This record gives sequence, structure tokens and C-alpha cells, in this order.
Amino acid sequence: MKTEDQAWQALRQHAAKQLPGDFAGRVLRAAAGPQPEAWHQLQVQASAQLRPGFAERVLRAARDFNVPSLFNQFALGAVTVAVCLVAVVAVHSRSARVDEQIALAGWKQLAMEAQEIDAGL
Amino acid sequence: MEPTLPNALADLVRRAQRGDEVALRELIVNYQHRVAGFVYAMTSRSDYVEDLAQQVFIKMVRAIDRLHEPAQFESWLFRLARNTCIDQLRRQKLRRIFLPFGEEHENIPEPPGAVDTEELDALRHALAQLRPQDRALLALVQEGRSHAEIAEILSTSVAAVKARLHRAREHLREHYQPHHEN
Repeated sequence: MKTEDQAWQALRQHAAKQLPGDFAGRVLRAAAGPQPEAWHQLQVQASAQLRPGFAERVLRAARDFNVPSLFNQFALGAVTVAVCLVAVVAVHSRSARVDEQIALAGWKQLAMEAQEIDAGL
Repeated sequence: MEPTLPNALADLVRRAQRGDEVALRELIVNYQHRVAGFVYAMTSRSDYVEDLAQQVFIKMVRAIDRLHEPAQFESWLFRLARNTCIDQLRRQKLRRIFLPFGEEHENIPEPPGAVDTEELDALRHALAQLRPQDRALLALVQEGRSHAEIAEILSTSVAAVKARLHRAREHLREHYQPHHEN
């Protein structure tokens, strides 16, 4: 056998080894698309996620679930706005007071310096 | 377990509409597995199943008195399930904008042993590649909904459902690889 033929044969053998077991079956299954069995397994898997007592838990949660009324939603909104306004006013008045104190201290300093200059004259 | 006769189901729904807790419980028990399967197909996440299924049934309990046609209960329930899942997926997408976590942090693979077979794993993977609307379509077909019912659930025409279903099936087949490894 020629060296080239041997190389091709080796390549084919190497390539064939890359294929997983039952390659033909897998190809055919892929080509056919998901079978009802796969959908059934999905259903079984999903059902297994529901813990016992699911219906009771749902009914209890539905009973405890209260949708806030329009009035309650409006009241909550109004309270939120009021709290925000109070916070803004408080922060603003505090910063205004601090600014005022700084300005006052500056003026006092200026007045003292002016008095010192007058006394010097 | 499941009421097979439409009349039996309609009676059960009417009792539930009157506030009969036994009837409500029976409806939940009858449909909890199917809704769980639908949620799983929509989200591909087993850890979302119970929470979302619970949300669906709470909505059902709270809104059942507004259902005009008790015979349409199943379509109505799966519309609730679809909307709940799509809302959840939208919220998840929105959260990704504000949180510094990447998609890979949210889509943590199922723990080993949670997914048993190659086929199920491949189906989950293929479903995850589709748009939520297409997943809903395929899951509704698996639920045995007719084209007309699906058209009603999705507020579209039967022709549009058929066309979208055809495309969704093709996409699913394209992504379905039983030897896919996560």
C-alpha cells in the first residue's frame, strides 16, 4: 500500500474515533426532532418540582393576598410625597442656616477688622 | 383525576366561581401538573416551576368569577400561564439591564441529576433557543390545544397560528441535538 493511502486510512480511522457511540441513532433522533417521549419527560420533570400540598399553599396564598385599593394606593403616594417634601424642606433649611452662620461669622470678622482699623486711625 | 367530560369541567368551574373551595382545590389538583409542564417548557428552569405555577393558580383563584364561559376554562387557564411566564421572562430581561450580572449568571445550568435523559436535555436546550412566543405555541400544542383555541389565546388568526407553528417546529428541530453537551 502506498504511503499516501496509508495516511488517508489513518485519517479516516482517527476521524471515525471522534464519533460518539450510536452516532447513527443520534443523527436519526436529531433529524426526527423531539419525540412525544421527550415532551412527556419534560412534563414529569416539571411535576416533580411541585412539593406536596401545592393546592393548599395556593389557596392559602390566594386568601392572604390583598390587592391594595385605589384609595390606599393614593394615600401611600400622598404620604410618600409628603415625606419627600418634609425631607427636602429640612435639608434646605439646614443648609440655609449653615450658610447664614458662615456669612454672619464672615461679617463679624469684617466688622472687627474695620473697628481695629478705625481704632488705629 | 382530570375531568374528561366538558360538562363535568363546566360544573366544577361554576362551583369554583361561587367560591366553593373544594372545587377550587380540585381544579388546582387537576391542572397543576399540566401547568407545571407548560411553565417548564416556557422557562427551561426547574427552579421557577413551583413559584410560577403558584402565581398562575393564584391569578386563577382571584379571577375565576370573571370567566364568562366555564367551558373555555382550559384555554383561559393556559392564557394566564402564558402571560405569567412571558411577564417573568420580561422582568428577567429588565433586571439584566440594572444588575451587573450577565446572562450566564442567571442561566445557571440545572444541577447534575436534575435532568435525567439526553432527550429531555436536548429538548430543554432547543426550547431555550426559541423566542418565548414560539415556546408558548409549541407548549400549547403539546397541551392538546387546537389551532382555533391557540388563536384565541394569542389573540391572532388561525392562519397566523399555523404559519408560526410551522416556523417554530422548524426552529425546534434545528436546535434539537440529542448529543448536545451543556
